[in-house]
Amino acid sequence: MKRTLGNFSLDGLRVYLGLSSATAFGVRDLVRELGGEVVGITVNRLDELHKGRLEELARQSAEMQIHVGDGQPFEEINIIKRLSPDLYLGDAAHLGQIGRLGIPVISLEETPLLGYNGVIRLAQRFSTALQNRSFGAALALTPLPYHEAWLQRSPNWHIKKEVK
Amino acid sequence: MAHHIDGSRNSCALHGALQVIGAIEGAIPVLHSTAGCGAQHFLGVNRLDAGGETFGAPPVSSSNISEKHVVFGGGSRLREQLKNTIKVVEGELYVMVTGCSTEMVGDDIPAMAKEGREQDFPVIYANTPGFRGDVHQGYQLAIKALIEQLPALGKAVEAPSKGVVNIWGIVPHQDPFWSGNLEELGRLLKGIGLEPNLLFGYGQGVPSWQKLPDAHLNIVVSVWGDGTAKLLEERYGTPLLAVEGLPVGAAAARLLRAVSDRLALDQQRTELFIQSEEKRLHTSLGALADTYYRAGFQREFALIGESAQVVGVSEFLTGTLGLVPRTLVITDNPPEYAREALSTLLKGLVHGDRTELYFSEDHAEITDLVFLGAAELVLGSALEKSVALELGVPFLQISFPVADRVVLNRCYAGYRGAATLLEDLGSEILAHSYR
Repeated sequence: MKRTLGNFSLDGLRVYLGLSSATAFGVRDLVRELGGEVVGITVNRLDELHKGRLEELARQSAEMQIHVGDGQPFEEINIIKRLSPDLYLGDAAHLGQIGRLGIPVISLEETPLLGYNGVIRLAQRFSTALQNRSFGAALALTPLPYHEAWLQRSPNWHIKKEVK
Repeated sequence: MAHHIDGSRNSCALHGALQVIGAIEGAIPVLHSTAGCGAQHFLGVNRLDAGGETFGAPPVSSSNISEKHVVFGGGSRLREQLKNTIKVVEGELYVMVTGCSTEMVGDDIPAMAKEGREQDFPVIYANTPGFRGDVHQGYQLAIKALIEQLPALGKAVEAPSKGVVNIWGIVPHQDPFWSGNLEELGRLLKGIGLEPNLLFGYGQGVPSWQKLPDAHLNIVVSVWGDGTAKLLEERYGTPLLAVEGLPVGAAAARLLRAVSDRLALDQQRTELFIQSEEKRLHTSLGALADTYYRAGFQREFALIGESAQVVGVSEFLTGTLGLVPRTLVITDNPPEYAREALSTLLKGLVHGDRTELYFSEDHAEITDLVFLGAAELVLGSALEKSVALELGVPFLQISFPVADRVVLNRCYAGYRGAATLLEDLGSEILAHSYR
């Protein structure tokens, strides 16, 4: 696997993950192993099972943004626009919206991740996505479906408003 | 050392000439050669060009010379064939084209054409033996004959129309999408206020060819149109504008701006037209985005085709669709002077050094190159289907020969062509992932 990967590395790259809770933590480890930094994670839910992982995360990088929300892409896009990562890895249905931010996107929905071959496949996807960003640039010409004002606000803004 | 070509896709000059004449409404070819030449064209080209004859034309009339005519000359056989063809097949223009044997024997074809014209038959000729080159040479030879000899037929032409531009460089049938591509380029040029003279395909007959001298500009979209445009520049002083390749997607805007500049057209109109076309394409890209990411469209690709197509399609796939060229094979033998420019352009499409560019028309060699490149997507001719299967990757047939697609009006040029290419390529990728 090392030979195939060659000198591939995610050194210095800030990565955002939008995955199910089950895979997000594993993929975070992989990204770190490849030299990348995970700057934020969106998961669909969190429960007791993830307690250990969360504590570990809090110890390692207290700054990292964790967003919990199933099917709330407007919040996620607000956060991603703020963080402006170099790469997005996800398996959700709204990847096109994230592509419009001009960020390279890789879907894990149809990319099997397990085993050494999974890593090699993923590394290939990383390389291609980082090498050519033209599709994102073309998508960015179509405006996002959200108000600019929303994107300027805190991602929790709408929740506070309802509570009041 | 010379070597044989395995699975040639460039046939011969005679076939190129037959394709030119067959794509002009009302033009009837009269073939002066051995019996095999027409049949080879039927089996080796017509059956593999994804839609057959342009106008559902009759089988080509041929003098079918035999040993006797090689020994004693085939002039009288051709005279008989020409007279009978004019009586039997309805047409406005009869074009005699020659094969290798009759040219080696030295039959006097010009005299035969003159004899025909003296009897008021609309007859011209083109010397197109296979030993003068491949299908691309035939394209140029037949066009040269039309340019030089049509005026002698002296037919009245309608009053010259304004804003006429000719389009050159798309070889009928050798580009399986020639008809649709021409029409799309025509649509775009019309959009900025010009009157495109497509010269080939639906509605393009002898009058289109008589309009040639009225053109303000000759637009050249492949290296195979260079000679023609230069000839017209010498003859009629018409300037020429050559672009790097078939304009697909955003490249069409470059063409329209260049034409608009050159002919001092209304810039605002041009920009508005480009804007509306780009907006439509970008809306399609947006609609595709989720599927694009989910099915992993962003891959390394291999593309095998003619120079103009390889340039146009790779530029769109890399410049707009985010794909990465791995193995590019140019099969039409472009002249040396064009190769360096092609290489600089194609290797510079994306940052990185993994793009390999080859010039080859040999099936076995191309298969090896594509296999070694191990791209994740193959676009090529029917001849590349097996290597794509071997690699286990999606495959789209886009260059000649095409064996299992029907192409009537489909195009891969311009903005509509870009969207069509997205549909076709996307469908292959999805079909492959659900296989």
